[in-house]
Amino acid sequence: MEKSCLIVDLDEKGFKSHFQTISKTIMFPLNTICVMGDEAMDALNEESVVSIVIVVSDSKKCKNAIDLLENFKISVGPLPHFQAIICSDPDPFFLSDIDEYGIENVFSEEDWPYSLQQMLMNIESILQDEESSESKIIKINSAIKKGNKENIKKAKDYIGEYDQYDFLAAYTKGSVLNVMGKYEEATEAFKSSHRLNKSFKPTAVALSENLLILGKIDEAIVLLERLNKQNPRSLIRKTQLVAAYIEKGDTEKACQYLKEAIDLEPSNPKILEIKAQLLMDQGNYKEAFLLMDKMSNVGPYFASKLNNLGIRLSNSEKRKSALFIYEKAHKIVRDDLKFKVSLNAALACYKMEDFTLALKYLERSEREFGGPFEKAEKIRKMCKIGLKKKGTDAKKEAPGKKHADEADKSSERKENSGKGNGNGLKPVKTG
Amino acid sequence: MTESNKMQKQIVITCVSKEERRIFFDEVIKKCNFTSIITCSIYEALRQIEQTMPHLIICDSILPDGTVATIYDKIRPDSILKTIPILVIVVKKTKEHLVPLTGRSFEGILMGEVNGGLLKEKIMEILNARSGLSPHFVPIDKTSLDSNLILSVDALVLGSSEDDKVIYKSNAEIDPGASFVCVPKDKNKDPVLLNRGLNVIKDDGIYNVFPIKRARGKGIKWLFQLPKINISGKRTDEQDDIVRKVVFYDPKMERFTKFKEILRGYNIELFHASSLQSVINILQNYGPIIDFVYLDELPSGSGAFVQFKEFIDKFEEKKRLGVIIATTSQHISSDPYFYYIRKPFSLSLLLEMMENAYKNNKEFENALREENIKSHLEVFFQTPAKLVGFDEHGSILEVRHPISKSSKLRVDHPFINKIWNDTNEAIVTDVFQPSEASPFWYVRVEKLTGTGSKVVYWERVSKLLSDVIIEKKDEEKK
Repeated sequence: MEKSCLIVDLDEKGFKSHFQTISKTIMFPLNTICVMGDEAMDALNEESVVSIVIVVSDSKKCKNAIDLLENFKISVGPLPHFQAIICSDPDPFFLSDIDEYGIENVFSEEDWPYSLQQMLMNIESILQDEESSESKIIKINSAIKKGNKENIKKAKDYIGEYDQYDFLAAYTKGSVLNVMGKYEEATEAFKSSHRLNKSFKPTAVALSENLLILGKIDEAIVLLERLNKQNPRSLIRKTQLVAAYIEKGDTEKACQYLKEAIDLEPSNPKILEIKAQLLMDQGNYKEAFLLMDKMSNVGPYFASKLNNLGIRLSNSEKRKSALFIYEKAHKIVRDDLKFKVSLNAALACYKMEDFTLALKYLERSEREFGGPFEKAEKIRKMCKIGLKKKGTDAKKEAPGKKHADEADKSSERKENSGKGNGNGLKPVKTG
Repeated sequence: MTESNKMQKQIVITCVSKEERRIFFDEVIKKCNFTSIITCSIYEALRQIEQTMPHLIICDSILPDGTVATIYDKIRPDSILKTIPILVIVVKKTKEHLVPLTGRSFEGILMGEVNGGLLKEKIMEILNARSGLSPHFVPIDKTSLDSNLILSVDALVLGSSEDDKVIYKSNAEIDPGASFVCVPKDKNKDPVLLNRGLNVIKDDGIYNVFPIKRARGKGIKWLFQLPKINISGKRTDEQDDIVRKVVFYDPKMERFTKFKEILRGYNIELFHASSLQSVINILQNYGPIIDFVYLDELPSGSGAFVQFKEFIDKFEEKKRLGVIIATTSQHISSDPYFYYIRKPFSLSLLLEMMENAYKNNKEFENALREENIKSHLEVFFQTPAKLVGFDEHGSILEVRHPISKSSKLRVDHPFINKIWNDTNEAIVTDVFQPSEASPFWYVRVEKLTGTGSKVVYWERVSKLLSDVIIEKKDEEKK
């Protein structure tokens, strides 16, 4: 497949037609697709896109540029040398924002054609080698994006030894391990990437998130505070600090950073996430769940909070409440995280001895994972044993007992009818 | 074309009477940054013209052994020499001094006493009338030759620093914006693509320093395995909490304010200066606490910058300040204490430049003692170039970034290697831009061991070219 460079004109001041004129006289080594801002997101989904160049001199469009860079990171991969900004006099704050993605190519409006040509020549030369770190990163990212768990499992080994001396490869390995739910190993990979290149911010961001997930709060706070000092305009950072201080039990600091986050971008979805977490920490589940109804695409940290809450409820025999949490979580977490929620729901059902429902959740979990996996198989076996045992016990039951069981089931159904609005739940002490 | 580019490596032959005048002309020409060849006779002048094919001849109208007419009549019928301009100096407005000019057309005539300013102006006027290319220039597209070639610079890898920079010793300055493929001579090691290098110029050679984190390719592996050279003598983690103090010249206050806020997050404290004089004042008053200087574009009027440079030069040796100059100019040349960064730049590049300026060369020099060097890995840097054409002085190449004059490198192209008797070792003798707007640089390369008489050289090259010129072949077919 021919590789492409996506050129996005956010300024909309005639760059596209200028580009068409220039491309008649200058040979660009890769196929180039020039689009306007509103076409960019769709164009980014093209499999052929391996590079992006954003034309932005209007400071009002900087946020759109950042969104594109975020999407490129997800769609194609963390390849800063495959990306560029065209802007002759970039605002220092904008430079700081694009530094969050490790972007170093900033071309002037006067000589961008030749700078772009050079960049694309380098990219073409790198990607000609299928074994290059970049080629592998693109393939791995594609597998992650498609949710192809089989390929994701292979991806970890596919990186080979590159992660020992290539910070991008180490970062990608961390991402793969994260998707597989192996947060400890992922953290080690991110630490390795950070050691190889301390100035590559995406690694520091991913590392801080993982430290939070693993409960290494003090370590996370040290890293987050440093990153926040370097760029106090990062909303993600603020929300991570809120989460960290909630975990630490320092509500005052958590609220301070929440205020700073709201001041930055009051309508950002991440604000809802962090508000919900604060409410849950205060025991105000009803309001937290109302907020959750407005959330979507929730990341691994909040997903893990919900999973952990579900597990606590399940272990303290409030299994119906746990199922309620899991259903709520399932609606709002990112697609690649749904399998874990379904798996936890299956486990809760197993503990309730509702093996049939457990098997249904397991089926869903495997569908979301993209195939069977070890933990699901294990629980399935246990459920089948449980079902068999239940069947045997039922044969041995006295006829009178059957009527009492039916009455129990009827009262269970009444209890379940309260699930949808959270009225059946009592606040659970966390921590 | 900028004035400095056109002045590079122009050869001026002067033939004037009287020793004191020869000294005067020599000084003026050298101040113009030309190569000056002084002769005291027509005979000697003609010999030098044959040898060097100069860009300009300055000659008194009459000399003890002849007149300027002798030179004129000798070179004008010559197909190779005829286009060389002649500037005549007529010391006295007498018939005797004016007769040699009769019936001949000279590019310039100066009468009477000539002062330095007038002479320089006239020289510039004559040379500005020409492009950077010789009138004998044969462009590549008139031939059947392939224009692609590879430039290679030999280098020696010395090791890597504690802050993960790989250090090479070479004979060429590298442009910070250029990418280079570093190819080890050891075939067991893979090539690696290097970016954003810096030059550290010392008496014993040129050191090129590249950040390993920006290296790409399979060769990254051996970069990380290089032995360490302790450049600064300090542990890198000692540096993290130190607040660097920077005098920051930026005419745009809003931009300065934003940089101040951002850089504070990296332990860099900025002090604003609104002019170069203001920079000097701050340094005079607070010199001991300032770590380095940042200038956003050189203010118009080079006098201020010359004054600034002189001021910096006078700083105590141990406290020699690094100066970062952000510029949009394509013309960047290395200097031991001036670090150029091309605008627009990324934040990480600015931070890296600041780190380099902070550390400066003193620490670098102290560590480069023989006993500290553990690696002697031979490599060569490669960068693609295009062959533009040929002239009597050498081969003209087109490169994306300027390569410094006097850089030694290898040029691999079958035709050039044939001209040079199967050698590829070259020296850069001239660097200029074809036009001010051009993003490319033209580099003239000559055989490292020299070509002898230019006239003889050009006769040979012209003969070889005649076999590959397309136009001529088309005409022959007709």
